[in-house]
Amino acid sequence: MSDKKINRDNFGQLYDKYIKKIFNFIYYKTHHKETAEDLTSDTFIKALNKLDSFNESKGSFSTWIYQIARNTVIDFYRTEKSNANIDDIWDLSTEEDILRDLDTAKRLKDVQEYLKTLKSEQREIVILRVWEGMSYKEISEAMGKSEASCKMAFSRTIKILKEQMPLSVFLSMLLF
Amino acid sequence: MDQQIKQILRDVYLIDQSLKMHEKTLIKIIQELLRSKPESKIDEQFVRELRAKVIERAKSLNNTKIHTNMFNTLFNKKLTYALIGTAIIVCAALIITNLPQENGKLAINTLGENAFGDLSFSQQVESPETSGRGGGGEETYGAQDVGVRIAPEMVNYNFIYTGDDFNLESGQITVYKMLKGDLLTKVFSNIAKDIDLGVLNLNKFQNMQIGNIEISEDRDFGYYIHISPRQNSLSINANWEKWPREEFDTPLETLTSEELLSIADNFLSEYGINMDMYEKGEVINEGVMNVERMGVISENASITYPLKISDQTIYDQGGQKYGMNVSVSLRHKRVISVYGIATNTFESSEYAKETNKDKIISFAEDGGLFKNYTYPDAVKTLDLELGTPEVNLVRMWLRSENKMDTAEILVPSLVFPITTEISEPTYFRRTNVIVPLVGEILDQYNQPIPDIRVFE
Repeated sequence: MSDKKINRDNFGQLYDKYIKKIFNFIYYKTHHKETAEDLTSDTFIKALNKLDSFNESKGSFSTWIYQIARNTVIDFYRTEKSNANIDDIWDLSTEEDILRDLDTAKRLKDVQEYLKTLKSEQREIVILRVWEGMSYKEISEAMGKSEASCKMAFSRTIKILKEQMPLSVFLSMLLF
Repeated sequence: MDQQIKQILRDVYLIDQSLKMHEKTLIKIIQELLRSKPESKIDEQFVRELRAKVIERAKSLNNTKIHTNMFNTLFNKKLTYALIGTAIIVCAALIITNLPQENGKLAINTLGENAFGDLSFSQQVESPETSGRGGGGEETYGAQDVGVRIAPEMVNYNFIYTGDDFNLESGQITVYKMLKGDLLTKVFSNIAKDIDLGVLNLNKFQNMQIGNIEISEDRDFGYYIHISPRQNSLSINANWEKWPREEFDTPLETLTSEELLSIADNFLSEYGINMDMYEKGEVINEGVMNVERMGVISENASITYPLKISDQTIYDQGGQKYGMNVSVSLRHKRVISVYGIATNTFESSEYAKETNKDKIISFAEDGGLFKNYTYPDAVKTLDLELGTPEVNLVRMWLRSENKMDTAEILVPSLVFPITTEISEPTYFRRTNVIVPLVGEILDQYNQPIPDIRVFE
């Protein structure tokens, strides 16, 4: 279905198209299933309530709903932690009193401190490209940027990770 | 090699051929990232339940729209508009009459000493990185890539006080706290309890408050006016639906500072924004100037009209002047937004002044409120001299003890100018170092400075 004819009557189809993408997007920013479910729910309800304000001449529905999801996560953490600098769980230290899924925390153990050093936009591009396997076209729509600038940002971020990730991380991979 | 990794590497090499030399390392990095991918299995029951909720909500909104249309049909449209207009006027009147202001000027209610409690609950909420005008970071959002980049370097900065001796007499200093619009919200609550819209009876709701009011201009190049009574804030934004679509293929033209200031000044004058509380505008970012420094073009220029209270200029914690911010579109040569329009009403209270000069200079040489973090393996260290400070006000946030609510406060502080000019390209953009003159805030921030972690 094209995203161009957007209205409440076909919102169910949009929901089907985006629910898993948005849930994953939020999960990667919260690392907690129940929190991700709550915020995904908020995102779709907000999108529905604000559907009249969606203007396709300003950007695609994809850009719009990802932005709502991004803002919903930001609002959640800034309200939770009373700090205007927090965008998502990556901006919190692992010691902070916040719910995280144990399995995810274990999986991220080796890479999280390097991903944390990235700016949230750089981290988002890496996550969408590597974890979500999204094309640059999809990423550009999700982030409201050009494909070229997404490619440039991804390449630069990989370069940063190359400088920062220690040999010990690579050696630890031999165990797997 | 996995197809996904191959494709990722192909794309990376298209941007930066030099990375091909490090292919083995890059493969390991991508493999490690893939191995670390969290399991984010979505619960199918959750998907079904939310879908049902969304569909129900969509139907409900459609029905509300029908009811609204019926309401408009049942009642004469002109009458409806008149009622809405009256409501807006009542709201506006309430805003004006319930805030302790006089003709938009500053109003201050003086309280007793230490009336805001322990100020060590104040916290840092903005940084040069996030405000885009301070220490580090690249500007990429809303920017047009032109392919010129400057790689960040690990540079340490060493602040040295070289200014004159300055006077620090003991005594009291005045801290200001911004009042939120509780009065308005309470009045609205009392009025709203008698309103029955037909489709919704407001008297069933309790302790209602106005969250936001948004008014839009229905004309070419129109604007939105956004009023947030609880925060006592006003802002103006382009109503993009009424603006011509931007042609991004057209090259951007640069505008001089004088031209930018003229556009902004004319706009503020045309819309009758009271400038009594502001200094003259200062161009912070001319837009295209970022090309040389950052390799990106910003489509918009920024102008700050610094706020002043009791003849003191307001700074943010990064040392930049704070006030009303006007953005000018270089494409349209028009103002596209105005933020921070002050409807400021404050309480004031006296606090004991910090008088330990050694402690203050030491705090300044550590970088002030933004600590001077250092890299253990920095490629170089630059000495930056700090000149004689002036006392001004710095915008900070005060958390209540339960840490659920924050209030904006203005704290008298010493503003040390950085007098050394850095000639080489750098991300360092601070121009001042801030030291609050309230001892309990100084003590709160005066913690040991950790090194920046470098991954080996």
